[in-house]
Amino acid sequence: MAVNRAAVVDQKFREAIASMPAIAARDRADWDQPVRGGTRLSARRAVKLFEAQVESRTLDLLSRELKVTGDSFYTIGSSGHEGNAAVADQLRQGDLSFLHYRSGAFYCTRALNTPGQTGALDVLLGVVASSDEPIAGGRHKVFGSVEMGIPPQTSTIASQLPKALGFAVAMERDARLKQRQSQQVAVCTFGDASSNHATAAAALNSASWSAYQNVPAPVLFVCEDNGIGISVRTPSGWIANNFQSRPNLPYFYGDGLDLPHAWDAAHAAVDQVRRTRKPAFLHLGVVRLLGHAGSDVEQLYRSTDEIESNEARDPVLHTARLLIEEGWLTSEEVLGIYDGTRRRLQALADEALRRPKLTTLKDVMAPLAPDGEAIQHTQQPGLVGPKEARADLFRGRLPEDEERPRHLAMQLNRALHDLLLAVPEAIVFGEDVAKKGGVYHVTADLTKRFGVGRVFNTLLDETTILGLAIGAGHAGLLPFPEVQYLAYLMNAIDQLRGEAGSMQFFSNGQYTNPMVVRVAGLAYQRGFGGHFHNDNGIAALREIPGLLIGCPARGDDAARMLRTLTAAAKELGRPSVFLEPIALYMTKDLHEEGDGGWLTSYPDPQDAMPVGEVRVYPAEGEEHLTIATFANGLYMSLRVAHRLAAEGIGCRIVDLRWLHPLPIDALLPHASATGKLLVVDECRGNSGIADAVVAGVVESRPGVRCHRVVGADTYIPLGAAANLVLVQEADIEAGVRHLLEQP
Amino acid sequence: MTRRALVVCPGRGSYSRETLGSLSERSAAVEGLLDACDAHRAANGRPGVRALDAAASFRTTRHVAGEHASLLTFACTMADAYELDRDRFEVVGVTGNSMGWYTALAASGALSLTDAIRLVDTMGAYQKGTPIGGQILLPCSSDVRAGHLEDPAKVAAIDTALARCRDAGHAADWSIRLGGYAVLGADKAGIRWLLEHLPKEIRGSRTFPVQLAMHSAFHTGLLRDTAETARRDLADLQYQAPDVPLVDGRGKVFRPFHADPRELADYTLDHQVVAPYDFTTAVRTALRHTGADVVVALGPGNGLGGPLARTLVAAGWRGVRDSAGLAALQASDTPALLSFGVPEQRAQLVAR
Repeated sequence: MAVNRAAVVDQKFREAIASMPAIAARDRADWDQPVRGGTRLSARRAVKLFEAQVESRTLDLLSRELKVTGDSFYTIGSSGHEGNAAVADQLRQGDLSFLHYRSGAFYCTRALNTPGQTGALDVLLGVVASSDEPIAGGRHKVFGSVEMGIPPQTSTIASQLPKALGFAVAMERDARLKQRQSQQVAVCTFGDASSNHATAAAALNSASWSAYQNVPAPVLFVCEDNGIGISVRTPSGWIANNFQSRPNLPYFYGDGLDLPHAWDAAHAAVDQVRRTRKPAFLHLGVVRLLGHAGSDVEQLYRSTDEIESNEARDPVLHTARLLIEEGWLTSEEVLGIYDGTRRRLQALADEALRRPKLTTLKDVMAPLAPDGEAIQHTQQPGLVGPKEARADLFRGRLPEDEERPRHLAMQLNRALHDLLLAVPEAIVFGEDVAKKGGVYHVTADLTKRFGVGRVFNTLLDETTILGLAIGAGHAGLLPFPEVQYLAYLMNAIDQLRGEAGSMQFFSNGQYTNPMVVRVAGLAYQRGFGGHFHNDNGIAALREIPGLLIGCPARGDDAARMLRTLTAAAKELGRPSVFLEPIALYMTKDLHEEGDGGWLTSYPDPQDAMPVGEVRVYPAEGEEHLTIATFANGLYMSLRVAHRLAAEGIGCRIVDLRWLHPLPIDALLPHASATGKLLVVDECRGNSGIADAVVAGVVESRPGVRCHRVVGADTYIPLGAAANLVLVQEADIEAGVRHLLEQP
Repeated sequence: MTRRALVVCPGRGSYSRETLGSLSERSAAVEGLLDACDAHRAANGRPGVRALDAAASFRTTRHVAGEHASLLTFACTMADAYELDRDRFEVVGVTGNSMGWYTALAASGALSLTDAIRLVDTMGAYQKGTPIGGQILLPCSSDVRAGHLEDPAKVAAIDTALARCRDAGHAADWSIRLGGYAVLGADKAGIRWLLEHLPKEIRGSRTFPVQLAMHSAFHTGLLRDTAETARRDLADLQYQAPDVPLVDGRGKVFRPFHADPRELADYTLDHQVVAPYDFTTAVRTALRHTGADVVVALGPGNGLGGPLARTLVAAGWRGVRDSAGLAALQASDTPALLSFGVPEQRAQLVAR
């Protein structure tokens, strides 16, 4: 049977301390002196941090004991990483920390330094998954706190680094827009294994990029290097080798096993970041004790000698020895703190076990609340700037007063002008959005009108763009990130799926990631661009819990929908994706050249589209079937229906407009009205909405006869071959005729 | 079995007609405390606490006025602390309300008895004559249960009233958050304004808001001069890290060994005097830090009984989710709240 290393580490600590020779205690009046020669860490602070380290260690031991009784649901611990208390001790109110999962001592230190906060009980409530846990409400064991400025993270794989950088950049930008000095910093922590992750590489590169061109980005990257990722060793010296001479990213090293050394290094690093407003990298040497998690049998891949040699480097024991050897505490006092903490935290664990759990699905999902009353509130956004300012913005001619109808790109551009005027905290960014005005001119003139402080280009990295959006939300801004093409969203999808989308869930609604991600997407660019500029797969977005996805087909709808999503972000903190169909940006005509059938007026700026509202295009005469569709599918369906009308076939067409959540309830009466439903989904069959629409309708209205017309499950080729894989008007027409032949 | 006890020290208003005589028939352990109090009073030409307590009748000017009630209250509270049965109750944390903070400093070992007596009696002496402004009390809770204490609508109404009161030219602010009750502090005109404009609420036999007799507007900016004087007069008090965790009116936990004496001094004669005192947060934080399984309210009286009960329920402590749950726990062998001010509970607390 495997040896219980937790018990061994606990026992070794007691034995080592008990066997230490008695040393005359120093005068308490000297406690503000350095804990030992050559450090700036005072004895008083060292004892405080020792207490946080002991709390963290005890939490690890308790979580494993509670596992034995089936009461703990999380045993990834912080043992060996307790030196990170030294980093936490540098932070002030207003700083934000984005922590990885070995941050027990960091968290307990922040709690110790923040009135009203009780770190140990927070952690224990998380370990037992109680709904009383203060940040996630029992949804996960996380380190998180509004009061301590710690947005919660779950199983981080460096996925929090982009938003830490994003917060730093956005917070600085916000301060400059308001013409004030900022003192805040962002800190993010991660392991040596995670430092190799693509997301880490992106964030660290972007940080250097910012520093290189003097864009303020006060963020400290803290790599807690324990030399191993689960069972895979990090090559000796790799972290130093990889990071100590990066351009524009100053490197600091602190020995996390030696508290004064770690504290001095952390102090220097945080102080430099705070002063210079530039990023830095702190390499904190640590050791991993007790394995990766409670379930990890370390003996399978590490020799006993190696495990014991690591245990001999126990940082908590090291701090205790230092305090005794330097005469600040006696060994009895150290053991008093150690055992007293154990008794106190045992009492807190008993208290945590008395607390309630999540017991209903409704409670679990409450923070997402996709269809709740709150979302209806967004029907009335009132996001309109002052009349005079609008007149000035639109050079005396308000767009809603203009008689000439316009295409989608133009109406979107106007809506963005209006929203940037009405919402001073709104910012627009992405590749090419500034002077160029975007690939399709949707953001044209915005930089000119609102300044480069609010409308600016980023580097070419979607992970960084979305990380900036998350960070901007934390800084109190309302971000409109632009991702140039739908296909390129996919390399950064975790920033939406794992981070922005999950934040409300894992913080029980206390932290939000407001944003409207504008994405140019979908196909039908007449053979131009190939797959990556015509991507028509949205499954990866639709599966993100709580994410709102809107997809307008025409200019007036686009303006109204963008206002709604802006309000959902501003008032409810909701993240959303606004999918703009590229092929319809400049489309003017519908049925024949010159008819201007796809141009619209600019809707009254007060007018917003309720979430889930569909647009119905009735047939002129008798209606024989209903078509549910969106975007290019709508455009083509209207053309087909127009032609079929000449044959006496009547199609009622419903533009779903909302792709998540799907407006099934709004569709049902229209499907029932004709008894036949054709779903025209321009996406690939396996990545669109047709399956979900048919399933949703059939479940409620089993009598409705359904048929799907969908794209082929393939990448999209260049040229005319694109038409072979994409839904064509002929396919829609065939679908209509097929359905009409059915009983 | 030893219980983990959070000890709570009440504020000055807790000495009342009902508590007259509560220093009599104390154990020998208390004599030294009372001697020290009386010696200090005598040296400053003021009547001793024994004499005040032994008066034949309760008189507002003798027993409520700050210059007498402060040390009298302190003596009663500390006497209870001395008499707590330490074999059955391990004190794992100390906190207090308002002036009770000074007592908590002594009860936790952060100040010597002599220094604490000086602190309390000096601050009390400043109150001689006309109080600075005043304090009023009113409820700000309705449906108290786990996770819910203050009623946001009531708090908003209070905030609005305070803002309007200030707009009318008066000084007015929150003074204490008292476990579901609000104590507001204002100048004299402000008090009149608030009494006139705050919505009336009847609870039991009392109609709120009520003005607290002979209380200055402690924990507001009106006491800035007092704080400054105190910092001068009491600059030599010797603070030290407490023997047990000590929780202040912000929820800051001062821990043994490493608590910073300068921070204790700064808080005691600055923030504590001139900024709102959050007793609710103090108690909740103390519970959540210490893992206490019983709250021991020291006397005199049981004025903190209600606020503590509501705070325990709102904190969901020991599995309590509502007042019925607390009542059930109180009827058990291990009550969550024991008060020296309740005779039958006192019997459970003192050394036999």
